[in-house]
Amino acid sequence: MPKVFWVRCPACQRDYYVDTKLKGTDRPLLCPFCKTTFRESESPRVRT
Amino acid sequence: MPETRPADLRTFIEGLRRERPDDILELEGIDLRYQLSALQWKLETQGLFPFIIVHNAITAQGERSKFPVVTNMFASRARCAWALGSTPERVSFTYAEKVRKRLEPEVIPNEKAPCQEVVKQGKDVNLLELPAPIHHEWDPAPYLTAGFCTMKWPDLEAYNDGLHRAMIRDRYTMATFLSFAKHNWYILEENNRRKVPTPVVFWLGHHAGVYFGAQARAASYHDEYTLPGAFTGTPFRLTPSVTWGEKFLVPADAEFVIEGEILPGEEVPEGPFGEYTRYYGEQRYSPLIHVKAITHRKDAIFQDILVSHADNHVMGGFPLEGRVYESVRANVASVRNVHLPLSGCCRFLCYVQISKQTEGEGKLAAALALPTDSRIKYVVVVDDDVDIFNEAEVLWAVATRTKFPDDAIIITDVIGEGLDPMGTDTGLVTKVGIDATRPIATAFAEKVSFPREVLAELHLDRLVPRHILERLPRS
Repeated sequence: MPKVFWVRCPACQRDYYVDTKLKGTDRPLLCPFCKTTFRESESPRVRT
Repeated sequence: MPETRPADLRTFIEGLRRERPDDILELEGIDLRYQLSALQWKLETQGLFPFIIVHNAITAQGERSKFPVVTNMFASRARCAWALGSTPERVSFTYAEKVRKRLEPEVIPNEKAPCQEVVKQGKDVNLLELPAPIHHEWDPAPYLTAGFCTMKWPDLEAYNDGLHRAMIRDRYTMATFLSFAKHNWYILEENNRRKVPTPVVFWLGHHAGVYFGAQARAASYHDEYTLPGAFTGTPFRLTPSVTWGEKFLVPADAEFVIEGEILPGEEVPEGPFGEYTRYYGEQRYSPLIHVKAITHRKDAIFQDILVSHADNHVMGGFPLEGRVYESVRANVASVRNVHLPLSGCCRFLCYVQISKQTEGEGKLAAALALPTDSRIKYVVVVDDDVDIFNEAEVLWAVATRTKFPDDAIIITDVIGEGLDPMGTDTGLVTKVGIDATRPIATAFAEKVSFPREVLAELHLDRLVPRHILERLPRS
C-alpha cells in the first residue's frame, strides 16, 4: 500500500500529501500553504 | 595549570576562527523565511560549504532577531573531521574509537550553568522569539532542526538523545516527529501505556563534537549523556532542569534549553517537512509538546541545520560510518574503511573497503553492514585498490567485478526508515548487499598500469603549458 495520499486544500486549492494511516479517519488536516484546517471529506480532490 | 574550558558552541567558533578562518561566512539581515536555506542550496551547487553566521536575521514573524543564527556547521566533511581531531578519510576509525571511550558527565549547580542565565517559565514562555527558519516551500511553520530531543527511560537514571525536528505552532506548543521503533519512540509508547506525561527537553547550540557524540547510539536503556564527553575530550556538563530539578538533568553548556511535556496520546497535524531524503515527508499526526520553560544564555546563539542538505547529511553519516566499521570489524578483520556518500544522503548507501584474504569475505562484510542501521539500504563492498571516496571508482568496481545474482544479497521486507519514500506503509524495505571485490581463488584480469618510473618523471606542467592546460575540456 502507498505511504501517502494526496489532498487538495478546499481554501487555497493547493495539493500536498498526508500519511496514509490518516486515510478515512477524517481527522483535521492542516494546509501547509494557507494554514486552513480541513477534513479529508471536505477536500475537493483526494488521490492515492 | 589553567582550567580546561568546557566545550561549547563558543569554543568551536573560536577554534574555527583561529585554525580555519576561511570556513566562516558572516552575513547581515538574511530572511529566515526560505532565503537562508535557498542560499545554502545555491552555495552547495557551487561546491561551497561555509559555516554561516547571520546577524540581525529576519524571523518568521518578520522581525529582526536579537539572537544571531548559525547554520551549515556540518556541511563540510573536512570541517567535521577537523572538529573531531580526524581527517576526512579516517572518520570511521575515529568515530568508533571515541564511542568506545565513554566519559562520565559532570553535574554543576544551576547558578553556574550558562544555559540558565535567562529563565522564562509559564506565561513568559515564547517559542515565537526563537529565530527558527522556514526552510522549504511546503514546511507549514518554522522548525527547530538542530535540537536534541532528550527523554528519560522509565524507571531508570538513563537519558536518550535523538535529533528530532520540532514544528513551532504558537508561543507555548510545538509538535515533534518521532521515528518508528527508535528509542525515544519506545520511551513515549511506554509512558503512554502507563498513562503518564513524558518529560521532554530540546537542547540546541553546542560544540560540533557534542552533536556527534549525542548522535551516537547507546544500547537500549543505557545513558547517552555519557557519549558527548569522549568526542570533545572534556566532561559533558549537566545541570538540574528548572522544571523537574535533579529528576531531569539538562546540558549546562547548550545555548538554548526547552523543557516541556507530552500528554499521553495527544497528537496534532505536523509537516509536511523537507527531509534529509531531499523529499517532503508527509503530514502526520505527531506528539504535541507543552513547553514549560525556555532557558538560554544572555547572548545566546541560535543553531540551525538545513535538513535536506549536506549540513544534515554529513552529520548523520559520521555515526553510521563508525557503527558500520565496528559491525564489520567484529567478524571481518580485513575491513579497511567505510564511507556513506552524499549521493545516498549519507544514510541509504554504504561503501565498505576490505583487503580481501579469502573468498566469501566480501559477502560477509555486506551481510554484517546491512543490519547496522535501518536506514542503510545498499552496501557495496570493494577491494583496497578502489577509492571509496571516489564514486566513479566504486561504480567501476560494481560494473567490472560483479556477476549477479551470485554477488548480491537481497533481504526483502525488513524494517527500514520511516522517511524512505520507497518504504511501504508499514515501513518495510528491501536491502541489497553487493560484493564488488575481485575473485581471488580463480585467475582474474589485472588493472591496466604504467611503468612506475615513467609516472614518477611525468610532470604535466612541463609537457603542456599551463595556459593550454587550463583551457582543455574538463569532461
